[in-house]
Amino acid sequence: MPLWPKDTLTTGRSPRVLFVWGANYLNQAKGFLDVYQTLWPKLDLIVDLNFRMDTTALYADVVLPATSWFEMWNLNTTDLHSYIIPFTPVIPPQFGSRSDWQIWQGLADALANTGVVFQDSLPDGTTITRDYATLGTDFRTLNTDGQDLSDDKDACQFLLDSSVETNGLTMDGIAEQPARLLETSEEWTSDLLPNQAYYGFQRMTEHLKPLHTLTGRQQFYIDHDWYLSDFREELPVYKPPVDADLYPLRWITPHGRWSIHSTYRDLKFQLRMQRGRPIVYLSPSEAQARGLLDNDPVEVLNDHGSLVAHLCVSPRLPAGMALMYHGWESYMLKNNLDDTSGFKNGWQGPCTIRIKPTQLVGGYAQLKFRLNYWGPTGNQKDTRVQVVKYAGTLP
Amino acid sequence: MAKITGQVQMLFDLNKCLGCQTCTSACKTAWTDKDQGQEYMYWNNVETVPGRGYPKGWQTMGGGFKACTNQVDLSAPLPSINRDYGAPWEYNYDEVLTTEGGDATVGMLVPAPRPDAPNDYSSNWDEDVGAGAHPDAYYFYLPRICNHCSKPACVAACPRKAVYKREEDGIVLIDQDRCRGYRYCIKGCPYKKIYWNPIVKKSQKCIFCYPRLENEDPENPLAKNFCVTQCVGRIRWVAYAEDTTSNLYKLVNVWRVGLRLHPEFGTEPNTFYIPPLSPRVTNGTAPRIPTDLLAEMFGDNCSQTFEQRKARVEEVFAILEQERAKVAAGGTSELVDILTSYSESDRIQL
Repeated sequence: MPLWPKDTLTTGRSPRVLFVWGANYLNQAKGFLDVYQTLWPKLDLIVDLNFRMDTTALYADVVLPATSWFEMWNLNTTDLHSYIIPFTPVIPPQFGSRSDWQIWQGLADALANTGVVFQDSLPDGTTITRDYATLGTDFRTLNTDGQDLSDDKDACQFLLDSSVETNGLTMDGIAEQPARLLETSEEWTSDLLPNQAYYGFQRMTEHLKPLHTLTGRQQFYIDHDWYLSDFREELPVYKPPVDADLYPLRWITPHGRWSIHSTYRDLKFQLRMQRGRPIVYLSPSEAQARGLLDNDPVEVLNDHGSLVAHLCVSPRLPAGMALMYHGWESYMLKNNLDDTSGFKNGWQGPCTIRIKPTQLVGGYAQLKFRLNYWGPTGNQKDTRVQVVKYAGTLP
Repeated sequence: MAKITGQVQMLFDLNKCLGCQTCTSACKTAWTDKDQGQEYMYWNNVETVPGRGYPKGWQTMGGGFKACTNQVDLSAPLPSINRDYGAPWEYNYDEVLTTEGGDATVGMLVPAPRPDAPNDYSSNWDEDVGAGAHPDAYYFYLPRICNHCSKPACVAACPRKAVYKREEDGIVLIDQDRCRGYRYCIKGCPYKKIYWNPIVKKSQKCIFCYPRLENEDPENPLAKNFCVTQCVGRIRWVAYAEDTTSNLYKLVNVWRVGLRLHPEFGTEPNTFYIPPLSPRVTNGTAPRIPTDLLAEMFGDNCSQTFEQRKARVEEVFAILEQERAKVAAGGTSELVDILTSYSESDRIQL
């Protein structure tokens, strides 16, 4: 994985501006308290482009109010299925919000007005002249042969026209009737088969197209030095949990049914179909051993942080585990970040970041950094906590 | 009661229900999210079984017809909103999410009233709690609407004739002009699917989305019951009982895999459930969800014994497993085809 800007670790350079888009970064970051205590003070400016007032927005300097899905033209797709999904403006933008496209355009125009010109260095060592004066125009017309894409719908149509998967579809057409992609490019692992759902790796199994591995086949064996000698993982292998956080319960935070990450986590209609506030699950035996009853307030803690939630006792849990569905906003947990009483809340409070060293291997056969596909992730599976009865008072 | 010339029915395949509550949300936002007094109402709810359900402990709250007679049991006390449903909590969003002068807001989002005793309940309080012991703990989801019974105890209980069953489609409704809020219907309904609106002081309930059935959209004729059209798991079938070509009819009367929920209440519900199969227990052959539990809940009619009901549940399981095996072996099965339900028109046949 490339480290950028270059030499960050040795020059003491540190980030000054954080721009958050499409995420609730502060709330969802592992090492929650570290992020707030270490990163936040370094920043001169925190900007959050958001359609929700979430934890990150509350701790940003500027919030740019964005439209949600039913207030704008936009496109959504994934390589996990073969459909292209339009967003359409059922209602006009509410409360002065703007679509993401309009917000970015406004920022480009604002930068253009500064007239700044400077030499920027690129990762490959070359330099490039950045002229902000043309940024607004570039934003609307770059790569379009002069066509103006300031309008959201025009920009969406341009995207449809520019991909082999969708060249031939129209925004009005897919708004009227959802459409399947027209074909799949080389990037995909399967052809589009009529009357068949899309599934992966059909080109490999039916056309014997090689996989992007060293051998061109399904491959478990990795002969990279780190795998071979440093960590002994040349083949998939069971390894016991890391001996850290010496607390008795494994801390598990799966995706929940009631939210998409933190979105919808704080909605009244959703909370009314739960228990109204954050809950953590224990097995009957673990609850009994701690003298805890269902719906008791409990503190979940380890050396990284703690949080207060209410207990739900369920026999579907094994002993030795504490489970909390993820995404609770920090303002739904006891105290807030500015509290100095020692509470380090946030559902990610007890989590820290442990990078698995083998995930730093790059540039070797299939082990190649690609955002969301291969790279270091924040492994949290070895986090352990204690759960005790919460003796304090709750608002 | 006039002769019913048509009867809507709904069938739920519990093997497909994932407990997502999309039906609940669709119903809630369509019918009971605007008027005061309806906050706690879930005309459609989904509860985890085993669990206390909604309202809390409804299965033993009384109502229905005594021992398959025509006498309505009105002896049980009315459920209380705070204790048995849980007061629907409100939140201090303005306090927490509104900032002034650029200061980070101080405050915590808290429900009011607090979900502590005696308000420690909600429509889904027992979600995913289950019973048994790890690794053989078990639970399943039970979606519930008004059953629009053929022999509705609520109609029999109402002294005002405000509750009535429509001749043309058998939908049970409460005339809001006639209702005086006596609440005998709530005592009489053994499924506790009628809710008291304490603001307008009238009883209210699931209307089977009758305005959507009456005003069919010619461009979208399948836009019927919200709980059906929004169902993510595609677990619901609707049809008229008289339509012998419908998939619902085939599931109930030909394949005989649809059972009634608590038929011993004697109301002849027009909803049917395909009971949930479950994996075998560890180191054993018994299904993880005890068949006894299912036999206590499901059966065909009021007069069946527990043993007969248990035999029927096992029969349904045998049919399902046999037909699944046929498909797994490369063959075809009408039952599996219907249950797979390739399109909306296979399920919505009203």
